[in-house]
Amino acid sequence: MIDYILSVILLFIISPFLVGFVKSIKMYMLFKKPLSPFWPYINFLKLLKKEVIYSKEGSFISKTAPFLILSPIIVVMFLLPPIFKGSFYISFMDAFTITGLLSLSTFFLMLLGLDSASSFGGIGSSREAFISALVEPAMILSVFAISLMATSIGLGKAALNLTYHFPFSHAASFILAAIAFFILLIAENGRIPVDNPETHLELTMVHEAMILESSGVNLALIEMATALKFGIFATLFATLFLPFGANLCWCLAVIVYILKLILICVLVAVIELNTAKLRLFKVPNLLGIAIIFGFLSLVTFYILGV
Amino acid sequence: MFNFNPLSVLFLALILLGVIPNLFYMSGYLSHIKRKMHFLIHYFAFVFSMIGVVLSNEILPFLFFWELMSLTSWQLILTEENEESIKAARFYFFMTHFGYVFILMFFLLISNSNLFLSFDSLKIAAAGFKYPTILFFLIAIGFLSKAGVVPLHVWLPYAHPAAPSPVSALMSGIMLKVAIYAFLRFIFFLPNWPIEWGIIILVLGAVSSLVGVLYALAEHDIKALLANHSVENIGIILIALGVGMIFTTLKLPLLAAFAFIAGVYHTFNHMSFKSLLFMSAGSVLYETHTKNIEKYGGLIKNMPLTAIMFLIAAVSISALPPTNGFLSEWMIFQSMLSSSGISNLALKLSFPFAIFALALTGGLAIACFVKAFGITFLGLHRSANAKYAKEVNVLMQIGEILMAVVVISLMLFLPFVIKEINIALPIKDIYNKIFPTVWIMHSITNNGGAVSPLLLLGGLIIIVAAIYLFYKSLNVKERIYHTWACGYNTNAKSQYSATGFAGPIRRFFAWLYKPEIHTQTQTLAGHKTKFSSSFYEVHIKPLFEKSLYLGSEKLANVISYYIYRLSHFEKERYVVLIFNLLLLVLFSYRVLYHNVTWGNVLLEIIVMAVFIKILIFGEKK
Repeated sequence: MIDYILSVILLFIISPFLVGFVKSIKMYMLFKKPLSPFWPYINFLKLLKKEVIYSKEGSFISKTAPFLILSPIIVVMFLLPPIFKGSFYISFMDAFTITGLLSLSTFFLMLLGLDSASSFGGIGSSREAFISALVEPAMILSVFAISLMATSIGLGKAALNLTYHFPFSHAASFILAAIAFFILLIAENGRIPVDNPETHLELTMVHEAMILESSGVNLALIEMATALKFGIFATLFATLFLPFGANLCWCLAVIVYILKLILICVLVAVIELNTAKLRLFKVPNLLGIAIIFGFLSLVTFYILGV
Repeated sequence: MFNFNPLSVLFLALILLGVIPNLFYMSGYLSHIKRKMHFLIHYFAFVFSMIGVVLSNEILPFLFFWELMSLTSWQLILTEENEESIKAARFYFFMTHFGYVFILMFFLLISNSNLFLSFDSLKIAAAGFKYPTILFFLIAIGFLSKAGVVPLHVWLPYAHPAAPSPVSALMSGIMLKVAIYAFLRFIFFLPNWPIEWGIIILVLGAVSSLVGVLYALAEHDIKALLANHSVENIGIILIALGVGMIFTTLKLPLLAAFAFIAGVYHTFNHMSFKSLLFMSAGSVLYETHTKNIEKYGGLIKNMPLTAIMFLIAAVSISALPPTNGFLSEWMIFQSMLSSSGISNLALKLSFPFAIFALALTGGLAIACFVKAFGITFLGLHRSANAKYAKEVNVLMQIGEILMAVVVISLMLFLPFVIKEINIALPIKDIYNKIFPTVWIMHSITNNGGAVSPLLLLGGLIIIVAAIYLFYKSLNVKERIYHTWACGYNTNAKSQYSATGFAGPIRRFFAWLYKPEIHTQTQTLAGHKTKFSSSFYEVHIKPLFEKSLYLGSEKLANVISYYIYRLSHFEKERYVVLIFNLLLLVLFSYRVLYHNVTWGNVLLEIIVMAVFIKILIFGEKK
């Protein structure tokens, strides 16, 4: 039980660091003076002190949405696969529930965008609706593929099965599913090439456009949700698609886990640096690749047989 | 004549759950209806006929109540007589009787001309029938055309919006479910389903769900949007039933039972949230007097209760946890994931496509309901009608609240509902396997997933409360100010419209929608970039209506044209016609009984064609 709570707290604490870390790697590689990776924490504390401005045009949705955006994501953190053996309790819940909870968070985020009657919010919601509609099938297909390989739909059991009996005969479909999931990691977290978290230009904004009217604590809560979402996806990728290390003793397992997260951050940063942001109507091509890879992963799994 | 068997009682409960809140809502809505007597008679007859269909245990009562259900709902569509509703009613009348012909044929084929046969003996008769595939197709076309399955769904987006809102809620929420009931009841009469039947139902379901949600997204009439969503949800129900039928054929009774339960549970859920959606959309319509979603906006400030009701139903229909809509979709996914145990590779490979269809449907449904809720209730008022809307009267509010209670209790009392469904269907008892304890729902396979709605709901509530306390403890200063609109005034025109919201999706699926775009811009002194007024409208004609229905209409026109010409000939032409027929008989006699060579056949066809062309049609004028 203590392991469980501690690992949830670890994820809670480390997630903003990951987002900041991606940013500082990017700055370093662009020969800029890198920002501290702990910058998101500073930002968070700064936002807590500021006053909150509500839009006159908005309704109580603006006031409640930040809570409803953050809380499903916190619930998801309790449902993740274990970092080391026995560290997660409620990980019997499956990936559909997690997908659903993340969609619930996005649902209220989109409503928040529409609430303030600004056309930026509408732009963001409309684009987010478009992208997340296409993310959903890819997510479910790749999760289906990995759960077949792990012979369990429950995420906790799946991660442990993969660690202890890695399906070497299905390495091909494993890699295909991993690529599909990595594309989803980028798309769902609003990273380049799907969305650019750093600009505030109406041509490129997706996520930022929806939260343009939020301020103070509300903004802090939403940024927290964004960071946690990245942490969740990174954890899912680290436990399901890099399945090693969880069988070590707990201190080593945690170190391996953190190293894996850092590896994912570096990967994301390198991809962000080397690609341009896609036009909105080209994003379906990228997500189409994820869907096709999910399909291919299933097909190769079925053809090779159990 | 009537029988309270478990399946009937289950659907009786469904009807009552849907009707009781609707009665309150209807009595509140009544002041809006001009022909009150006409409406009330047909409304109650409609409700009783649906109960009659579900309870009747003989052929004749069943057919009587089925027809009564169709006719009363047809009259209810005509409550407000205007051009639109007359057209919708005509279409509905035709389509419902098109289905009725097939139902009648089904009964006539197996009843041995005894229309007072009870369903128990009908079951024996059906089991002994030599060509069960014919019966399957008669059942499928007859009942599923009423349920609104693609391609027989075209009447639905016309008929449901034309009716008054309480009736739309009844038709969409309950009448479609009565059709599902009839399909379930009679499909279990047929023994030994071939694998193809299940696949047909699965494919129909997958196509319906996608087509329904895609057309819903492009729709601007709020009630037509909801009606299109009914097509989608019927599709989801059929996916579950199809999976169940496939598993039954493959002799996997546990998995089949799980899929059937998922389908029937989704039937209940769809009844609850679709009724609630139609009720709250009806309240909006009641106050604003327009069905056009672009004319709403900001209604959450005038009608907070209706907005919250719509939000509950929207979250539920978008299959977001922990609502009942999510739980039934979760069950359907779980039953499809169990397909990896099938040995037939081709069949196994087809399941990911169904999963893909269902997942894409879920994603698009979220987009659609963000649009429906966001454009209707959020932002600024887009028209004067929306500005002066008030909260509806108490009776209508009570109706909505009761329906929301049904939605929420279907989630909270999940184990109980599942148990009742399991008892009612002629399938294996798997309740104890799904619910070893009442808190957690397990998938039927050993390595399946699990979900616990109460845990999720409790977790969400606790965490929201914790964040709220955190927020309160900070003692933040709050200020209210205008939305920043880059220096311009924030006004209703600059908000995103429903057309704009669905824009990216419409553009991506342009091959399906084939939108007709009308634009009109008045330029100022020849400057293309400056304009005094502009107009943009997108019009979408459903593909199925265009190709299937209008196509067959065209074909019928062509044929009738030639028949018309034939019937207006002079005497000489008739003589020639008879001569040609004689020729045809002689030729075919020769071909069929003596010389069958292709050369002769060709020669004779040419001779016939020449005679027909010269003697009958004559020269072209």
